Amino acid sequence: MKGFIHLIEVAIAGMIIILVIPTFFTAQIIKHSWERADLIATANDIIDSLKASGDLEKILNESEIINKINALKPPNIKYSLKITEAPKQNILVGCCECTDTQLARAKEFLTPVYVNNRWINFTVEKIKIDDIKILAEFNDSTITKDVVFETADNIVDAWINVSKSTNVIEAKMDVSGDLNVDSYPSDIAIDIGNSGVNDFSFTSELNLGNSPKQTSDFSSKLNSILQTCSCSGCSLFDNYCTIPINVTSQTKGIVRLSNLFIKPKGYDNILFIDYTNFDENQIIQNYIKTGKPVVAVTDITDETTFNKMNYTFNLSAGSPGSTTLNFTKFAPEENKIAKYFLGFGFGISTPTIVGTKKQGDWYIWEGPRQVNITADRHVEVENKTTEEGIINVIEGGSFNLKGPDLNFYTFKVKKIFDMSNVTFQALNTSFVFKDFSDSFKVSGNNVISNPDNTFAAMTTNGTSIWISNFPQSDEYKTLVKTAIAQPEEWYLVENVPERKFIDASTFVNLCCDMPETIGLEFMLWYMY
Amino acid sequence: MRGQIKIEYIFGIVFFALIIFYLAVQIGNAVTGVASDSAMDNMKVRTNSILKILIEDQGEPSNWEDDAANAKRIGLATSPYNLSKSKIAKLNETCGLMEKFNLSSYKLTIFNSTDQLLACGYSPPLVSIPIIKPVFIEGSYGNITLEVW
Repeated sequence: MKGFIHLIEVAIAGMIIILVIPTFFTAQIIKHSWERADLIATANDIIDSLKASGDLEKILNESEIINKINALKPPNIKYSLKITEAPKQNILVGCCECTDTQLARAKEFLTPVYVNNRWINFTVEKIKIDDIKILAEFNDSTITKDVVFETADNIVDAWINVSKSTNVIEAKMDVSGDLNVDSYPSDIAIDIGNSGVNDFSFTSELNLGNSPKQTSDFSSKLNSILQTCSCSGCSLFDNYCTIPINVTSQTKGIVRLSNLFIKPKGYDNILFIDYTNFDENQIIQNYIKTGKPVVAVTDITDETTFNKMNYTFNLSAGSPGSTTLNFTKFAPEENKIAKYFLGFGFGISTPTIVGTKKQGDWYIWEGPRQVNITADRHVEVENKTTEEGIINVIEGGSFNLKGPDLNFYTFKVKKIFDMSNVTFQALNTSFVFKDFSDSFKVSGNNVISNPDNTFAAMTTNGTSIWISNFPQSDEYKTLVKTAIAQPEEWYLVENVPERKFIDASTFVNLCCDMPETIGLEFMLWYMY
Repeated sequence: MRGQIKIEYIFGIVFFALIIFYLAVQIGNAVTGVASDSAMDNMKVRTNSILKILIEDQGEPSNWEDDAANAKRIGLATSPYNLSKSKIAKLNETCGLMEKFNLSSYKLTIFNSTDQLLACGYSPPLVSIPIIKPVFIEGSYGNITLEVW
């Protein structure tokens, strides 16, 4: 009987626990759901207001729209805004192992582009293969470290471990105070690298109520230390530098270091000019494996070069064929290279003043044509045959030129900029190129090939793009720009979420040089 | 022996009673908290619904501001989130139209970037649920706030 009563007791206790636990959790879940719902509603309200005003379509070309978003959002909310399916506004290109001449040539290719009512700018810098290694291998260091004080003291009990070759553009971390039995830390100072210069100081008590605080950006200090990994207490192992963090508190307490954020300088695209050692260099292979893009403008003139290039760009030996080239498939709505080729067009600068006109040369199909912009904003293009007629058109007008395949191609005067620049756009459903492939014919996932598809002058392999080196002509420059503009996911506003965040996204159609539907993804979180 | 109770048994009963008492109090608190949260949530949902109608709907008829007395439904939008100044002005003149939403205790305000365009309702008590939404009002951004209690 006694045992039976015990069993009933256990059963009752079990039932109570089963009933009570879900009750507590349900109450918690309801509260969390509202926070998420409020954030999602806020994001959608901002998106809908921007749509109503027509500002959403201009978000890539008018920086003040970000100020408007900042004014629309509640002050206790922080956000990031990610753009997808659109090239960045400012593309940073690393010209890898480039000579000064190659760098100058890259800058000549990568002139600014005006497309769908916005500018896309390119910045080109020389980089070394080792810089790519850093980009491929870099991992954010995340530490949460409690430095425990029993009395007023300065303690080194936390370190930052980072690759010595890293070029840091932003570095910060959170500092919180917590109880050590009965006392919080106060008058706190943090000195990274024992330099004698504090990167953080807080003159009163740091407790759970006023934590966390953030350090100032100590990237310049890190870069200075990393040059030779030299500081008091620094140590170097396997090219990684361990840097001490000296923490001071004037009272007993716990100083908690967390959310260490170190951002290395990254490149949006890596450009190689006449560089061939792809297979020998594991650094490049590792870099490509991370899904980052590379573009090689390289001649393949013999089997040795081919063997160095074929693995990275998935090339096979081709065979000779007819002498003009086209896009293998010209479908701007599906194919990004064709889309950007159509949208970017050809930017012609007209620097020379001749009477009331401004004059420049447009290299098309490897030959120069004189272009004049007249005072009444007409564009005159030199004709090469009588069939092309006299070309004198206004902005928005079009004209025909005879291509190397003897067919006529229509071009539109897309925009005239202050008589010093004009942009043309090729309007046909294909575009012909003179054969700029090399003596050793190759084939792969062809983008530009001969009509029989037996050899190519431009191929893609995932995020790797190969273009055969080429003589001076604007259509080739546009091809390089289209290849470099491929990465299409970037932040218009970038903040690191400090708390749980929500996503709200929308799509916007941009007008009118090429079909472009961009994605906007808002990430919102409460600051407090 | 009959009539004698073991001390362990007494401790057991007391301990068990304490646990039951503690759990009963906790459950009571949780239920009360949920009930109070639920009331707040209902107000929040209602406020959101009314705001949604005001900022996304033109009203019925769509030009109700020309004959406010015969308005069947109030909406301030010309298109979603794009508010009409004339509709805002008419509602400001005839705040009684808000009764169509069956609201007794509320405060509705609309601001554009420079001015207050509308103020209807009453001064809110210390505890109320204000919901603010950004809107576009004929050329400038603004916001609409509805508080219900």
